[in-house]
Amino acid sequence: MTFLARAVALVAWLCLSTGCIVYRSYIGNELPPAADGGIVLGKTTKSDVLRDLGPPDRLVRQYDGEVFVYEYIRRNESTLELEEPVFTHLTVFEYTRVNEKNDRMVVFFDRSGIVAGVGFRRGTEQLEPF
Amino acid sequence: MFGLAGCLIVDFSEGQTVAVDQLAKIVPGTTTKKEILDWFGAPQGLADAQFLENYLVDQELAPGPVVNVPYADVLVFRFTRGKGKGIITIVWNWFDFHIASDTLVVFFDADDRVLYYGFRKGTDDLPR
Repeated sequence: MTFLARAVALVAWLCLSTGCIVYRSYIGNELPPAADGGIVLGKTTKSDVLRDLGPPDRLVRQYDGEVFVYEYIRRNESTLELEEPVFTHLTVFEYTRVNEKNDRMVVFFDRSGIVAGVGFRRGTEQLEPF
Repeated sequence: MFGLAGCLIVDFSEGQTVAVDQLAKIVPGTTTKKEILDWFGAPQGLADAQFLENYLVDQELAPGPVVNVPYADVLVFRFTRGKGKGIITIVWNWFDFHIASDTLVVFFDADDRVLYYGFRKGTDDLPR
């Protein structure tokens, strides 16, 4: 086998044995900028929150009131896989990197439907460029 | 290698579309639960099969239902849509998925009249 033939065979084998997967997903509805800006503790009502932010992605009921959860998730994932290409397809090496960030806002209401607390974190801005 | 390449396009939806044209009819304190059910149909969690949503939640691709157990004073109507595309080659694969939903949540008082409601149309923000 000539040098060239060996080189071609080696490149073909490498191409067949390695794989790269790049995956991006956006899940849910994006929260508006400064989503918690108009909420005043002890004053804003459940009706106000529903009007301004829409329905929650999750509604939780606890002993002394309800909790609205708003969530928007972005996930970037990349995988490099090296496997035996012909007989066993055995994975020799795999590297996966997942970077998931979310915008999450939690609004606590008291029993009368008045906002008792707000927690908001915009995490998707910290997601590394993909 | 290019002969073995492929592409993937996914467009799926689940649930009944929310009748947006009926939203203006909802008047808190006046509209009844019967009217809401007449206008918007069967609520989520009570009638829908939700096979797809359950699968997506298992795969961590969806946030899950708004309420885990049915409440008598809350009705949820949701239409979920997902769009995805991908390029598949032997050595490099690329996928991009977007999932969003239109959701209507209606709260009722003890007399089954609308207390308040919220609607968000998220599917308009999906990429074309």
